[in-house]
Amino acid sequence: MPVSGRRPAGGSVLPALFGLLVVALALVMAGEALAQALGQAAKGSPFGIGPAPQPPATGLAGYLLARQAEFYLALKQAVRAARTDGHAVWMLAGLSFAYGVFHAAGPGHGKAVISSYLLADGGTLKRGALLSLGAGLVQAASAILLVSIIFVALRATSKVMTQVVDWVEIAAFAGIGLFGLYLAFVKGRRLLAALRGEHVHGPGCGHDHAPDPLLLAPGGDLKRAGIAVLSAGARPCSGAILVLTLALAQGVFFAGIVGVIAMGLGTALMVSVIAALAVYAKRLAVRLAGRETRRADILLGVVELAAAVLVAIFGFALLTGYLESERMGLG
Amino acid sequence: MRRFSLSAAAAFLAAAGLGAAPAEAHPHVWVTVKSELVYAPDGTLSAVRQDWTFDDAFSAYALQGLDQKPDGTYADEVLKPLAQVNVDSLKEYGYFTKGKTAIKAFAFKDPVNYYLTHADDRLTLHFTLPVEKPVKGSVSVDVYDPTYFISFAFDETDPVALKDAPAGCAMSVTAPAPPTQTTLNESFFSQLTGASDYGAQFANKIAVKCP
Repeated sequence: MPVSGRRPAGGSVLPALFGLLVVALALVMAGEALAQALGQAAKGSPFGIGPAPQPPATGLAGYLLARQAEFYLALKQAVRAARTDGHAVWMLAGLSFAYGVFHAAGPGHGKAVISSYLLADGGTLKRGALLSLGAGLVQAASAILLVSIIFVALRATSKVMTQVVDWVEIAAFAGIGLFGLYLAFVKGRRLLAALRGEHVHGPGCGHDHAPDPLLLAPGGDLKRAGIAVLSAGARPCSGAILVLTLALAQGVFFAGIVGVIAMGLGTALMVSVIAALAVYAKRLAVRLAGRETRRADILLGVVELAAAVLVAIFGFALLTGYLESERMGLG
Repeated sequence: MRRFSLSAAAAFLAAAGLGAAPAEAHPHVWVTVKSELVYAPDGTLSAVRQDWTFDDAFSAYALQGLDQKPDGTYADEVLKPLAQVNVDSLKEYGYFTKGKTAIKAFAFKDPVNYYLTHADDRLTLHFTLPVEKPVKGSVSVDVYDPTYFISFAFDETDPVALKDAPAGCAMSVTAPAPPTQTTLNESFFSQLTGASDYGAQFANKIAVKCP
């Protein structure tokens, strides 16, 4: 029963203004992200191969990253131990898992993409957890595949690896950007409809996402989730690549693979916690605005559009930054 | 209307917090540093020699796909192009080395005599940074990465040496407190807000006092 006629014009002006304000704020913020990405882009990898530095983390993130660094060092010792001690692989898995959790708690773009996507495209906790798990496993698989193909099968050099990782990143960032644009287009149309007073939701509005008439293509939902997972996870974590390479050099490649998968699971755990925050924030917002009202419709539309615009801007800011110089980013 | 604004702000801040946080930086490469300050006969500091030993993971990464001799070592001509790439790329970072006299900073020329050696699964990059205009008197030399992407640490047993320094010059070496010892108090966070110089607290400082 998606019916709700036009309402008196007076009620729509404030929400509309507010919506504009929120979108404007989103753009300002995204502009800062873009400036940051451009500002840091000038530098390549310090040793000509391998990863390049990113801007420093501050505050709590800095603290988390210090912990993460400790786990990374312990992790490398466990790889060496795995060479002589069969049980060290479990130690390695545990440390990798912890590294993954801390790694994801520090800010990074996979989490931003998944959370923004959940804000934009509607999400339940279960969906958030599944998307996070998917992104974490894709990220692990990406590192394992790259090292297996480039170092093990082709016996190529780190220079080749650095270049291939660059291409993967460019593709992933472009994917995020285009995906965000597409979402923004869909959500923009929906917001316009809501502003015109057309109630586009069924009775479930504000809870689980009711099928959106504009998107009711079969499998479209699953396909969009798949694109979000792939573009968020495709970029391999350079820590994972380094650990795998060390394991390979020490003759314990299998232990390295176990470690990297555990790392992906740890990342997924933390990302799903962050994703749950996004889901709850959106629910809370919509509930406070009142159900089944035009206001709630508009608010939902604004939040979703802003989140979609954010996804697009992440992608393009990262892409522009990374195209400026060859670099292997940090996952 | 108030409830509406609050809720929208809550949702927006959630999105902003998730998205706009800074990208991460934590050490991905560990380097153990040995330095030698080289003085000219006229008593000026003429060059800083450095040996940087990379951690095992980065060394393994750098050595992937390079030709190994049957005894597991690498020929000089195999390591040479790699050393070239390292040195060329480090230029942009000012070789992570900063020199200061008591009054002002001094500059280095492009490195000379650079090469890589390989031992115990680790690569060591050796290079000499000539001082552009040799300086006299007390100096300090810092080795660090301001982004803390590379963790530099002085060698524990043999960090710094003075070569042909004028009589009466005394050297002191300050290694940073490792971040593990940092407690989460207010000053910790206020330190960290100097964002662009985050790594400075991890600086390895050589100070030479000369009469």
